[in-house]
Amino acid sequence: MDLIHEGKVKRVLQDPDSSERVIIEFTDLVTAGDGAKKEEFAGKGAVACDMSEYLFGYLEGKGIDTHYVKKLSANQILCQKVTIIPIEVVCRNIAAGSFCRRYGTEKGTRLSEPLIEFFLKDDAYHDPLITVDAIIRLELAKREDLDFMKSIALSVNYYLGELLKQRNLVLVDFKLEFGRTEKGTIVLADELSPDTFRIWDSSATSMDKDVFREDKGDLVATYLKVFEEMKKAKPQDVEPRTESIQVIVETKSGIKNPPGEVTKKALERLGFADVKDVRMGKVFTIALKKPITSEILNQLAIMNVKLLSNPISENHKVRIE
Amino acid sequence: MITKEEMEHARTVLGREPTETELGMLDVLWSEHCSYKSSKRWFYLFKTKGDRVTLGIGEGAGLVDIGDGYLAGVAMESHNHPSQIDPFNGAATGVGGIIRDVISQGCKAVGLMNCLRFGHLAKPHNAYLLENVVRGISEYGNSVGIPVVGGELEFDDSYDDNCLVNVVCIGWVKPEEVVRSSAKTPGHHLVMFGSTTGRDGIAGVSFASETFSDEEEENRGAVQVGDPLSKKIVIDTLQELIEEKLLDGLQDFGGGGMTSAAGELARAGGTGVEIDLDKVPLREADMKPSEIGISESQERMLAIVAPENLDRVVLLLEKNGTPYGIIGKVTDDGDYTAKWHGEEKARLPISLLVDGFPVPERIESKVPAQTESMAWFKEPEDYKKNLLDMLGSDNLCDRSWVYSQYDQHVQSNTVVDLGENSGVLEFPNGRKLAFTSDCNSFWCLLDPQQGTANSACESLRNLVAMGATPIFIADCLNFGNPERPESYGQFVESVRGLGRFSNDFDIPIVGGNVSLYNEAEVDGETKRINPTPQIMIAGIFEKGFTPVRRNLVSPWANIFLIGETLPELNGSEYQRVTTGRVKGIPPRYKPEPEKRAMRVIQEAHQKGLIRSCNNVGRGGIAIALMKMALRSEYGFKLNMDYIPGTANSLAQRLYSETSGRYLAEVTESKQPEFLEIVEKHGSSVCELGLTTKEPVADFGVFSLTMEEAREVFSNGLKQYME
Amino acid sequence: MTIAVLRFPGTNNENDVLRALSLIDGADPVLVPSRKGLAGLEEADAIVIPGGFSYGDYLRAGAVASVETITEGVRNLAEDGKPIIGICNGFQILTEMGLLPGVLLPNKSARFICKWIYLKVCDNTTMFTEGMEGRVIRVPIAHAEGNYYCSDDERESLKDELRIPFKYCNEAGDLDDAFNPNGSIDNIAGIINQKGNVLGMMPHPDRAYRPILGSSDGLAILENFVRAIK
Repeated sequence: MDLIHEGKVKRVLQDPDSSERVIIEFTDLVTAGDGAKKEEFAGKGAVACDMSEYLFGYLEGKGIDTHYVKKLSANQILCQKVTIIPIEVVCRNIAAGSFCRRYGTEKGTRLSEPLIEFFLKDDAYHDPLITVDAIIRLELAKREDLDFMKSIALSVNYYLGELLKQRNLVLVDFKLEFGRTEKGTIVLADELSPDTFRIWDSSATSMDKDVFREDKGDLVATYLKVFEEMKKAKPQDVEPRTESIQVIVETKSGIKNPPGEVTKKALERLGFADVKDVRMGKVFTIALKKPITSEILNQLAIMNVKLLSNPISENHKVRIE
Repeated sequence: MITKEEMEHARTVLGREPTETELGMLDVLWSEHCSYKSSKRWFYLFKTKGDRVTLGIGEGAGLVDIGDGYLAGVAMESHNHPSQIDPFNGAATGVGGIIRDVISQGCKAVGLMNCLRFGHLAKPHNAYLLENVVRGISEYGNSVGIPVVGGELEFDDSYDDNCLVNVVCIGWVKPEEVVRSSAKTPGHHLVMFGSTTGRDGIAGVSFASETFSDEEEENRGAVQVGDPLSKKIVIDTLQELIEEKLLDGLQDFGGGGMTSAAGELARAGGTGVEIDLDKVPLREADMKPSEIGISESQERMLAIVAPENLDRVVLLLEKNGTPYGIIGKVTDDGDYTAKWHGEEKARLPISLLVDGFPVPERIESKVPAQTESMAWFKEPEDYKKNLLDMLGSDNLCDRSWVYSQYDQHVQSNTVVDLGENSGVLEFPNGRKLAFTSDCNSFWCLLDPQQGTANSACESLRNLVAMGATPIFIADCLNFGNPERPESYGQFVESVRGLGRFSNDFDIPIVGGNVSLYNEAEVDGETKRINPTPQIMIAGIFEKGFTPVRRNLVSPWANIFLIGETLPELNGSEYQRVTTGRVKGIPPRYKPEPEKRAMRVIQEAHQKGLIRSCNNVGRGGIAIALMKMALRSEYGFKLNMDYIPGTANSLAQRLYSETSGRYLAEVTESKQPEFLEIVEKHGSSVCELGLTTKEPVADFGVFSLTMEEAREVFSNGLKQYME
Repeated sequence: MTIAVLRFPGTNNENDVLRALSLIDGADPVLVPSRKGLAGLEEADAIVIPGGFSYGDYLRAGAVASVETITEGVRNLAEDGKPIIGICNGFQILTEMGLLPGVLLPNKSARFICKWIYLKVCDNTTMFTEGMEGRVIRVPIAHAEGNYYCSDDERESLKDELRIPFKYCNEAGDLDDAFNPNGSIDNIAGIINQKGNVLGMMPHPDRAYRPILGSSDGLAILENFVRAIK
């Protein structure tokens, strides 16, 4: 099998049976501190692989598109071949790790709302934090892609968080990677294991790679324990989360917008004299039964043109909450 | 809010404490709006019976026999308090509600009228209210597809904090298709349909039975939101249900929601009802039973269906895609029983719930007397300027800004559009009916009894001027807080006035509404609306008669003034525009001269002698004549030196608002016959002048061009609204 | 000669159209509720889409109606050259379907307007205006979105191909902005498709078919429509 990519702890191999598939192999290596710390633990690859299988399956069941196809062996999974988008998406519920170092926030501080951060996937630059606008200016991804990825991250945050809550475990933070399939759809990629998320028990004890980072315990035993707990939770008891998309419809500039003109005059009559122009549009807030997927976005694109807006006189844009 | 006295009474009759659900029901059904507890006792003064009256006051709509196999249906209501808070939705749902009243009788709804009152438009808030009320009525009525055929618009400071929105719906029905609002047979099913139930307007009627305080914003939850699309679907569905004779009884969900609808059906039928609140299709899943019973969500109907018809009814409801629920049945126990998943939440005797409130004491204080004094009166220095000011003043100017937003032609029965003395609809049997509505609140403020009777006369003259014979009245009585003797006194005097009119002229009152508590606390003081008894009168034309309009149609025709003119300028527009206020004894109600003038016009029309005709009312002869010329190609030349009556100056003659007068355009050749008729009926007449080809209004002492007049007239409202 | 008169939820002029058509010899108007789908149009030789507020105009006038399955049947009949008239909301539905070019935007006053207006009939002969060439007719309008707009190319095509049968004017037939009640480009009140068998117009010939209503000028248009049905 051809090696496509050698990562720090995983390898990506070409599937000999299909050009559209790859095999992801989980090694027993663990790294931390940007590769500074490195060790090998027997069984680590298998448990990370098991958990990825379990969690991808769980998320797929909730409607999230992932690259996962099936498990091949103890430490290998079969996945769709994707072009990885070079942006890591991190979601934080509680301050920990690099967030604390960056801003001096006390570890364990609960954030008022989940926080999404983007990091550039680039070893040479040590995966720096990067803003949305910079990503767009550097043409690494489009705004709608980032909105979509953010929406999936919040979805994963909810579904994973609710599952863990059943077992009194707290999802502190996690990192996701996304890839683009041949057809151009974006799917969740990489792995889902305690390598890529932080979980604490009710006494804030780490049940993830922090036990390695901070030499707090037996890594493989911890991973197996958290997986055991996770498997006791009932996925069917996690209620679907309503996700929302907005479609904003505006009159094209150059086309008369009488409601806007009348509104402008009314504003002036009420004393709001600095207004130059007013255009009145529409906002459709669409609540979905399942997480937003590329398929849904494609369908919406058709509806936008067929029904929600009249392309002769209106523009539209999609905003994901 | 339920009073202590009422609470005590309920406890005594029930022999126990009412439950939460029951309290909510009583609060709503014993509110002034639903129970008429302050006003009902005076309705005996009205003439309510007549040969043509098939169904009088009491159910959803009054039904009047117009001959040739058809009944006209009418309902009139107010939606004042909601419109003050949320003018768009308040007005829209007002229209929605009145349509429901008419269709619940089995009628097809074919015409709408709306009578609006606001503070002066110079205050932006009033302009905002007018704009949105009109938009609400327009969007709702136009969407459902019912034309507006009449209305009125008046402005006064007293309406600043209490705007008035009174609506009328006119329908027609064949006698055999009438559906009654009663549940007669125990065992029949209660089926509700039309729309889901949410939290709209919870306790809206109890809200309408209170005055406004400074916490207006909080009242927003009590306003309902209309859905004309659902309404149109209900209308189409009802048509099918009625055609197949599937309904045993029908009531609409209006003020008081389900409690009122089911309660009144049972009361009328002498039966009881048992309702499973959990079978009601809900819009908001977590509603409590107490809320469901009093919700005022719009576009809902309640039908009584015999068991053998149930399946077919359900099939039709599903075919039309309208939400529905089989929510209960008619019983024989005389109670209103409400259950929630089998648990009894309320059980009230219908007799207690619908009519069993203790009659509250009300005190009527005497309305302060006015004087005859005309000390304020002055001839204008510049007659032309004065007339232009009058023409452009808000109570006289052109209202086409408003009514051009209403669809007047949908259903293609409209024979006369808005902008004339009355709107006219053609009924399927070929008969034409005219509709008009008037109320001069200034006359009513100064003398509620005379003012009311005279307002009714103005309506009457509007119909007679077109050639119609008045056949029925509907009214909406808008007054202040009945717990205050001054307000109550105004109300009772007004009812006396309308009662007198209905009996003097032998026209039955077949429908109506009372809206009290139209006052507000403003800076610690009570501000009350002018007494506003809105009177709608309908008239019928002889077969084959073409309604006569008020636009001058021929040059060199005579303009006749029928009736005497006295110096009655107290309470007139002239007084209001030149001095800024009204005071004094307003024009008197004189039934005999009024009848004489009416008979003259009626006979003259019968003989085809009158080419155009207008009634003389607000603004006097000057305004009445200008309105005849403004939308015509002609002008006129007058000699105002001598006219019958004791008015003795030009301004007095031009602007007196004495009742019982008409202007008629009669061609030279028809003059002798016309004068004979006048003499026969003992009325007064004089030839004011001639119509001219030149578009100039020449009053002798002064003149103005029609162009100048049109400019001012058409700008009166627009200047505030564009 | 079956004329299908469509009714969508919220259509409210179906009776006006049925009554007007029933006065014309040879016309056999039938009310077809839209929920009947394609089956409702099986027998149709012509179609009228009446005015009203289909689906409440809630999304955009005519938008939701234009994607109902029955409109596929309308499209088929249009392609077969059968006569089709869309009045007011019907015109809006035809443009949303793309059977006629352009779009009807909100009136320039941003308000509903109901009034009697005059239309100048074009000088060239069309299926619907035969015998009326160059005349001035009086009909009422009642709409909030009658402001016709189309791209510059379409505008040129409509002009060059003589596809504008009705324009707003005054009693004398003068075309001017002052007589344009809603801001439509070129005072356009109605247009036809390239084949000439589909007419969309904002004014209501179905409300001007008896003198007692104010005008019977609309009847001639409907008579031409009926005559064109084969």
